[in-house]
Amino acid sequence: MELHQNEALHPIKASTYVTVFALLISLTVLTLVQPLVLKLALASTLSIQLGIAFMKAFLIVAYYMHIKSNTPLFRVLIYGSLAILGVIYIIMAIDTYYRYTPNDLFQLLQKEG
Amino acid sequence: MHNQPEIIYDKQGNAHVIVDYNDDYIGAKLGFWLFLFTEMMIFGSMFLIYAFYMFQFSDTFVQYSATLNVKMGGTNTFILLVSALTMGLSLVRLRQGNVEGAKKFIWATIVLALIFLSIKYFEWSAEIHHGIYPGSPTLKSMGDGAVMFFGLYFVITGLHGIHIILGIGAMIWVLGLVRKGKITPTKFVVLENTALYWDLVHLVWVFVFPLFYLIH
Repeated sequence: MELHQNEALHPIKASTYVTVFALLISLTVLTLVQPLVLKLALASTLSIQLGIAFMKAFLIVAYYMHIKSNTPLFRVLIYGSLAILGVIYIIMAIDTYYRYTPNDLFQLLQKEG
Repeated sequence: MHNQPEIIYDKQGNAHVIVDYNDDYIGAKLGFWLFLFTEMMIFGSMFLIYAFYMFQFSDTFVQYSATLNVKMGGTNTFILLVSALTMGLSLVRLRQGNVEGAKKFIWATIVLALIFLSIKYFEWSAEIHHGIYPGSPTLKSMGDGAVMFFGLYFVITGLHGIHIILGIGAMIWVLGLVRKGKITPTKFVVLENTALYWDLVHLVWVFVFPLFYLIH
């Protein structure tokens, strides 16, 4: 079996880029319109804005950065390292919730002690 | 053990001496992704700090988010979006064998990146003109929340700006390699990695823009 130099490479198409670009533009317009149309509390605004940002991020990583067409090695590495970053965020979120807030565990313990 | 040839085996178990990795496309990309992971950790931890202080000073963050220039930030968002497209299309053109087309798209990306930086310059100038910059007396008098919000704003957008400048440098270097014939329609991994880098710079902005400009 003779391997051609670029046989393993997935072809990339201009049309994919343009389609993803159109989707990214629409999502960006949504992010800009949201504060004008809907005045929401911080938590809701954040969820909407970050939700759209994560959709855009997925489109960029999956299509612009070719993760969809990459080998499993790359997919495992990339999604794995994103998962590790996620774990760090969750640990930090727990710490943030219990620090310098009415839920501050250290202050509560001091009061009791 | 030095200078021992590397051996590879075929399916029948016959040994072959490795003479060439054929530019090791997978290796070049894997190495670049490892670098991108370090970038992800740098910006990831910056956003982590942002999240922590937004939780502590949420009212102040909302208040000062409204003072940022959404028009300039929004324009820059669109510029980066288009530049990510032109960068991707340069790779498509190169792989199609259209070297001149690829070069044009890289130049377009450079121009867009320069426009991004100019807008950023005017935006920062206006803020600095109003006395808002890290360590300024005006900013200190506005309280801890404002110090954190604008401190993070200048550090994160500044670090992002440095990445844009480095990206422009990388693209000019890539253009040189294309001219020297070191990047060709069959040897394109350097351009592909530069495009990956530019996508990461775009990706960071995708989160910077809503977190700073649109939470009010």
